[in-house]
Amino acid sequence: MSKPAYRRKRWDSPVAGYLFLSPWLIGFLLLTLGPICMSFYYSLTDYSLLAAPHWTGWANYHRIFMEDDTFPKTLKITFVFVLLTVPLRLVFALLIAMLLNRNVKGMSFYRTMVYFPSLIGTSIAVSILWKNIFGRNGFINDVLGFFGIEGKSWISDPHYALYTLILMMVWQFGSSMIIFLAGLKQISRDLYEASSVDGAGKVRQFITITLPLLSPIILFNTVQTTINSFQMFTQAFVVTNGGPVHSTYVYVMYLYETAFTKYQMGYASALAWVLLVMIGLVTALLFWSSRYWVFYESQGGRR
Amino acid sequence: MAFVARKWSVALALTMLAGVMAACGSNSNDGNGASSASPSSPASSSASSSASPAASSSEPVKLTIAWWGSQERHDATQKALEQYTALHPNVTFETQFSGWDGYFDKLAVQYSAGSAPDIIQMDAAYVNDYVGRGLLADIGSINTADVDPSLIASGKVNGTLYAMPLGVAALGMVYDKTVVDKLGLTPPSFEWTWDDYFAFGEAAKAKLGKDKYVFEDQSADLVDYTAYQYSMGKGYIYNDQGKLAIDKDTWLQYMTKMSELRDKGILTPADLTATDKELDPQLDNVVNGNAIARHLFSNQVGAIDALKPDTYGYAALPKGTEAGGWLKPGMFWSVNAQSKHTEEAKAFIDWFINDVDAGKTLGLTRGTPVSSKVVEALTPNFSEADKTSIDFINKVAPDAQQFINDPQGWGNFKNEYKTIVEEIQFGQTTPEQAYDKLMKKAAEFEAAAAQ
Repeated sequence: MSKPAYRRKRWDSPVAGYLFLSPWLIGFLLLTLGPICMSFYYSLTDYSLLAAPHWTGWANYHRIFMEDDTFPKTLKITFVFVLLTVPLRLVFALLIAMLLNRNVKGMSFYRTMVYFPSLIGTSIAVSILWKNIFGRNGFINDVLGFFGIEGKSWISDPHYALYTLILMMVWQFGSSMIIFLAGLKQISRDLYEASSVDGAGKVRQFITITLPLLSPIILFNTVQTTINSFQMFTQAFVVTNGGPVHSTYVYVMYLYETAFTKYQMGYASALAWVLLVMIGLVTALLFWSSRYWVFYESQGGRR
Repeated sequence: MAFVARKWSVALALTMLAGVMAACGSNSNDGNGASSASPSSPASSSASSSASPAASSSEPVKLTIAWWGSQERHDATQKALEQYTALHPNVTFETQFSGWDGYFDKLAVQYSAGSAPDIIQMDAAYVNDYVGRGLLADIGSINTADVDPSLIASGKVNGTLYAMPLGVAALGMVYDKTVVDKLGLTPPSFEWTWDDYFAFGEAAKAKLGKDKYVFEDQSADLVDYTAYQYSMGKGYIYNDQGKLAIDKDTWLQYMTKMSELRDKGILTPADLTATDKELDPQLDNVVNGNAIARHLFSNQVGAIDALKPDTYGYAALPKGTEAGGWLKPGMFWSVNAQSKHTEEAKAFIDWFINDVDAGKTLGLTRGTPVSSKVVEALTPNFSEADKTSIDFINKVAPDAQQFINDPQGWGNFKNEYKTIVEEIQFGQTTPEQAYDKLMKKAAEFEAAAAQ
């Protein structure tokens, strides 16, 4: 198949195709692309939400990198959050997925239950629940007290608050877990049987069969979770409101406050674009690294 | 065959598209009607309604009204709105009420979308910000004959009335009377001084033991330092040019003293302070028994009394060379300058503050009513909590400090202030370092306000 022929085929789809797509296309153009372009325009102005924007060129970006003290601080908190959340959540999701990949009676019930936290995950209600559980007089400290341990105030102590939020994010591992589970199901039983005939143990099987065959899915989950973690907002907003002493003041929290409590929509738009570029770079890095560790069966075993 | 199938699929797609578009269209119409100030009958266009804006017109009008507050206030306000609709059947209301958290965030977004409510409950911290941007309408034509002129002045900017004060509140303190009596302490009074305050702290702590504290640590609340600077005779924290005027020595003295009290366990420790939520049944440290006293506005007496009846006593903020507390308009009604129903909105506010029946329904849910006529009519029916609240105001009033609205651009400074003082509370910084940080932030606000 020559390249031009392929191109023509790809773009000359029947009108009906575009018409069927149009609800999505119109939605995308009006509700996603439009606001994205607007936000880029705003990032070059001093728009304040309450008054009309004035053109200021790159001044907002200059201020972010040169003058803003909060920017590096909130960036550091966000990176700590992402670097801890992503691996913990993936390891946790994979372990649970492997547990749920067995043939035990009533397994579908367990799967549903384990997935449950993710269904209600980012909602305000769970955040409030979390706030109460981890409060000074909350459930966790009651349990610890039962064992004679004096618990801390997990969400109002600057040393622990961020880790409590990380724990909450890790706990919502369900979506990654489901995808891992689907991946595990696709791995052919034959491989395990053949290797066990050759005398491979469980650990060996995991390292030489499961991990390589699962690596495309690990990549997908890593990218997905990384993007989600960078954009974490609800939990920080509801559980700790960025405090105490800005210890959970993640990037999007800063962005929100800049836009809606300080009315600096222009500056907040610039912050949003910096975040977008940052996520883009990290994702690109992940994809670049994937050629060294992701294994695609369809490519005849080439990495 | 293939051709026919394709034709059919095009037709099907078109039908679906039409359906979706129609759904979108009707949705957005509903949305407009519900959220913005467009007239309720689409036939009578905005031109006709703005052409006859008289309050007496019988044309159907839907006013959007927003306020924040507690359940008590929500119930009373909704009842008052029903009352108004009964009197003026052409006026109906769409209500947007919530707690304080996020109220002004939402309002800013509504303004930028052109869908802000017609009638808006305003706070003193934001009056200048909103008026400075031309977002509030002149409401000077409302009858204010029975309202104290000095109170009306608090809603004026450069001589024009933009915000109608709705109630007076005094800043003072609340303490847990049952605990104070049980421990046999001299209770705080309306005449106590800072020396009495410190002595009370020491005495109470000695009897309370390790896990209970005397005062909720509110040093991160700019209100507390404002009162301290006033009481030390150093004046208001903003000067006449609308710039921050925190007296360095007084501030350091205050913060150092507060750190000392914190170390002694007289103030609540930082992690406990961080979970405090004023007037929350579980999270308010005075209500849940972790501490004995905190500052309180007199219009909150009803709310705290409802949480634990007959438990609390009230006092003034400690005095230094002068008094610390002040009287402040609790909140205001403002009219959206973009509203199409300014006249109807003004007529409603007029009724809200001047009508005796409205006053009876509303009670003291927004502080003591501003109209002397309404107060007079209400007095015979006051509840115990109402009487306490009035008594509170009367005792603070004689030497109360002047209340001034936050200057334009400084409405959010208290958030930055809180974060900086929290660092002292958690022992991450010294008062001197915190002062430098504070001044740096203040310079940023000054620069932004100057633009």
